[in-house]
Amino acid sequence: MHESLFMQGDEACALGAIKAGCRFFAGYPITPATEIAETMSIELPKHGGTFIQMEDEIASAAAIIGASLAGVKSMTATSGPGFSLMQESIGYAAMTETPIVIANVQRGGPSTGLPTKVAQGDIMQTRWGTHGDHQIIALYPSTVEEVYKYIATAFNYAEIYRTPVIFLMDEVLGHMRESFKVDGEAFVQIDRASESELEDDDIFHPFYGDDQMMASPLVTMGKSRFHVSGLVHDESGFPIGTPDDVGRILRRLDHKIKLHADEIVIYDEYMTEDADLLVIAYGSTARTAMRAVKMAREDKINIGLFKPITIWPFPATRLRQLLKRVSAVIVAEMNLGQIVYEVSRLNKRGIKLELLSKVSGELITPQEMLDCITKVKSEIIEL
Amino acid sequence: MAVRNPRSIRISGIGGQGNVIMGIILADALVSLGHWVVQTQSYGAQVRGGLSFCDVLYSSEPIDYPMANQFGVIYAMHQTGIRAHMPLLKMNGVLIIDTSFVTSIPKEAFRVTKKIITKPVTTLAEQKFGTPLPANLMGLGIIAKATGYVTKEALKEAMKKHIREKYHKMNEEAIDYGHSLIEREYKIREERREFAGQGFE
Repeated sequence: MHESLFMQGDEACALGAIKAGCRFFAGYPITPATEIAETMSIELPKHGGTFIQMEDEIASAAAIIGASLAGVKSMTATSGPGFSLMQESIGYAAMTETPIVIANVQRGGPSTGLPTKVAQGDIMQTRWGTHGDHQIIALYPSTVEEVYKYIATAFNYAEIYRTPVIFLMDEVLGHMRESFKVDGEAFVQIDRASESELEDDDIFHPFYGDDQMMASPLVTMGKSRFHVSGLVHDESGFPIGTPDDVGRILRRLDHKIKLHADEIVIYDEYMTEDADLLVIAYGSTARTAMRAVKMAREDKINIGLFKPITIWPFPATRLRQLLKRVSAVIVAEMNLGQIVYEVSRLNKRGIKLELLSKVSGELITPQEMLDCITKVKSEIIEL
Repeated sequence: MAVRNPRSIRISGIGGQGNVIMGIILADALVSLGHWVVQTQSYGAQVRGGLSFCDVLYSSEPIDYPMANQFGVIYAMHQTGIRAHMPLLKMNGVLIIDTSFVTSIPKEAFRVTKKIITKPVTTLAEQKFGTPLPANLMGLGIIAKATGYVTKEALKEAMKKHIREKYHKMNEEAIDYGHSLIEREYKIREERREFAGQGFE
């Protein structure tokens, strides 16, 4: 059954999360993510959930880790300054394999920056913000409908891979209201294994990796007891220091996401079948790109759009295939160039790579992108 | 493959005039009529004052780029907004002006369109309801009648979702009153060419 909805991106994030089973939210309001907290504070109690406004973002991230370990699907939402404060806890969640979801509605500039303006500057912070080798999953939708849909995917990935998942948005996406249709039945929810599945005298090994490098599913709390530590720990959760074990355990944490990258990546393609030129854009920029590609096609330019929705791990396998076929690639982003590094490392043939970047706090317009496309097209024409 | 721009409405004023809620109600009404709708807004940090505007875009197909660089309809509620936003009006677009707060209409406007509607909406609201509060809903009634984009009924249903119950009756009357202020519907041409209507083409 399809029902028609009309809501703001931030509201869609909160309501989608509740639909995905989120029952705990701890956060600190910050533009442009405030509406997520606001909607959660109204809606969560109606669904038997708990909302807490914490003293800051450090405490918010710590609180959702605690709640998640106690068996409740949990999330927080913030913007750049708060996201910086959360980095320590993201590492802790990665190390302790705690499923959490952090929505980061990006604003412009470093520090307090431009609270009410749009930017995509946190792409690399999302990947490498916390210290130490670690893998991360990050999703970045570009429409309100996708926010509503992929926030559920974010919760499912957090549970399946037992990892923090960063849900990226931007100011335009967060504050824009948009109509969309949802298919209520196409919704899959991954739940925690019930503790009743454990025998009374079973020892629960929360950090036991299977041959696929995946950690055992986390159980709801109550019967089981286990040790949680940010130190390198063995399968039972207690710290260890023997070199062989440490290497094995850290590699498993890395491999559980790296080896399953192709199952995690989600992307959209538009008119790439016969494309000679490729635009890579994500988030709100992908909407501009969609329009620019249509306009360029009217001008008889064979161009396609590749829109990664999973930003981390980067959809390298598919992009490698596309880069073999096209003769130039344009990366459009509202930062000074971040994803362009990922594309650059995949550009083994050394085809023309153009960065279209804008950091003035406004969306790239279709005309600006079309101008860039036309310029690149004129440069690659072989006479 | 023709690239079609969505129809676009900008509601421009200053913070506190209720232009964002106006846009939300209009957008919601358009959704109920089966359109694809995007609504965006811009406002400063202050609760009252400062340039503030709300854009509504709608189309029969999903909308990709969520902004518009030109508007078929501009509803100007304040002098601050009309200076900044009048140049964004499409050629032969509809310009609706609340003359309670707009003291002078830029001359260029008359070169761009003849479809200029001037009503002292807020003053009329104060006279009829004893408060300026429902002026924005009157504006929606005016937009409905002047453009034919939405129906009064759809606006009323949408209004009930966003406004507290005790004000429903007054706002329903305001929509009707605004609707009754306009005699005719203005035809807004589906765009032909896209360039800024500065009057020098």
